[in-house]
Amino acid sequence: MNLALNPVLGREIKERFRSRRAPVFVTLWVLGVGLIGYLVYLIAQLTARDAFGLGQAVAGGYMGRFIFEGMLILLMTAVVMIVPGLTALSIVGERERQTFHLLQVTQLTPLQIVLGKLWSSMSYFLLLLVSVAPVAALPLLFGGVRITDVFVGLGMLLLTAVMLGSIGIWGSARARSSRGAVASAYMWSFILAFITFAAMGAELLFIGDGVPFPARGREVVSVLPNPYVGMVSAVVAPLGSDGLQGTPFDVVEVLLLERQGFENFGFGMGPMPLGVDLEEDRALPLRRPPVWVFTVGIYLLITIVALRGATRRVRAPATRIRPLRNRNARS
Amino acid sequence: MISLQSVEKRYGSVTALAGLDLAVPEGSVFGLIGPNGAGKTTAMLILSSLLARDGGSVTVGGADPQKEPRTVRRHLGYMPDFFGFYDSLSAYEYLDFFAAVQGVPSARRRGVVLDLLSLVDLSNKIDADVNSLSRGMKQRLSLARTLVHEPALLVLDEPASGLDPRARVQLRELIAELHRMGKTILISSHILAELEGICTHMGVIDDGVVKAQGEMDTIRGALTGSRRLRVRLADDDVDAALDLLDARPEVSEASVERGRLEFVLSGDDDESADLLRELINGGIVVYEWRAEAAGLEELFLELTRDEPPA
Repeated sequence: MNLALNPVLGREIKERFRSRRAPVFVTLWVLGVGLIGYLVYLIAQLTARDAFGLGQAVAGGYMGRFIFEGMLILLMTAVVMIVPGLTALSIVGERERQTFHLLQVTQLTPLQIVLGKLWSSMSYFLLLLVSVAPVAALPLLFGGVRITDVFVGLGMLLLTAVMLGSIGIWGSARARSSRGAVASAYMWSFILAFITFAAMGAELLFIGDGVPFPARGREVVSVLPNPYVGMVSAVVAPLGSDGLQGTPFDVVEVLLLERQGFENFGFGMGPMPLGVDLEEDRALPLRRPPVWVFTVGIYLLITIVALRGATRRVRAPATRIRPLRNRNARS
Repeated sequence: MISLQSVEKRYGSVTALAGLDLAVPEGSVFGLIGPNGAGKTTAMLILSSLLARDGGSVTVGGADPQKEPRTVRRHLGYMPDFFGFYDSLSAYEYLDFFAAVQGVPSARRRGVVLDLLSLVDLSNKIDADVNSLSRGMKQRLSLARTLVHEPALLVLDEPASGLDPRARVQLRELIAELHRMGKTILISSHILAELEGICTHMGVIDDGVVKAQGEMDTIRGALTGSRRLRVRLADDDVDAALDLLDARPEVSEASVERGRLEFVLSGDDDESADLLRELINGGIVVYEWRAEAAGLEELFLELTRDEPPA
């Protein structure tokens, strides 16, 4: 099936970009990301020059890395906060506008309807990414970032967006009101992004017999579906560290290194001094596969299950037609 | 064209269809009449491949909507009893979208859409936002939507509901035009007068079963079994005619109103012709002989009347 020719995608894009909210939202988004990007730049500058006292050349590379990591965290937060909102109304919105049956009696397959919805949401998200590309590309001017890191980071952002979008569409297909669909989409998004951090803390306490760190080399299951941890793991793979201290990824890097069995590692101490040879570190033996491998696997599985669930809900003939809340039952 | 046999559908403990039998001949305009909650919409959803039945069999153009939904959808245009429109789309874009999702090739789409807008008399609204159209225009646009893939069968659920008299007349003319184009049309309504003028066939549904169905004329006769006759005679012949009618057991309620003889005849057209022949053979001069069939309103009320408790 050619997604580019999916008529649902074409109509959705028309509708999204013709709304009055679209230009306002994109403008606010660009201004917001630009402002936060500038703040990250200032913090990076302060950290590199004052705290570490680095020379100009090293400070440039450090700042590039700092801003890159800061921007990735910012964009991942945007994925978690925006994508559920983009997809939550996709199916239930059709029901509320009373166009759902009209779509069902066409030659479109349920999968085409669902993928058209998902793809249009992703298109909008891609537009948001492209619109802040100049800000996001700043780290490349400073150095300290490899192009593969950029692609890996973007890949994890997109995979997370597709996964959360699929959950949103599944919830939308099940929901009986737009409010319920939005609540469901954000609930799952927040569980994966934030509640897993809380679960992680509890798990570490349990594993460490009441002592949070180290994790004593045992698997910390709750980190595996977390999008931030997965993204950091993918970008700093395979070992779990960028070799720099004081950068935004540090909190997660500590966890990743301890998960690989490095003890007594924390802020300002541990086996990764500044300027470490990353290539050499990458040759270190790993106790277990990097977190991102599990994250990618889990996300692909969730995406398939969610899309399958949404497709089943969209399929007709249905055994029953569930009325929306506040709408009259059929004769 | 459409056949439903012993179709059952339940919503939990509520029985929507209780062994519904319906046959819609090809090329007909079939009016489905019934009170609210009778099962009209449920029946239409089932044959349109949107709702699964619990029992019985259904074929639409030879295909089972439950087993071959895409085949059925290729031959069927469904218009629900509500408008469904997208924000920010013009009338042209709206039809173009549905033509695309119905698989009309892009090279043909523009021509198809323009022809349909012309058919439903909306050519001057080609760029108008669908939400800005009047109710009647929206309904005509909805009808155009059902036609984008040139289906042989149209299923129209309460199409005249909520329209003003002018819009109703326009819709009625449009349906008549579609009938002339060879479409088979199943149309539900509780506005009986609307159906009386355009339907060739009719089915009366109540409590999930069809109480009567067939050609309009046949069903009228079958339902009532009687007709009211108004006869204008020479003044001198009225008494003789009354005497003759009194002797016939199938005649009742005979009276004279403003020089015209009125009575109810239990029987069909043949019985009416026999009676007329008898009057003429009896030397009575008949100026006018008019049989008035029962109206749909009367038929509907008669068929859907609550049965008295046994």
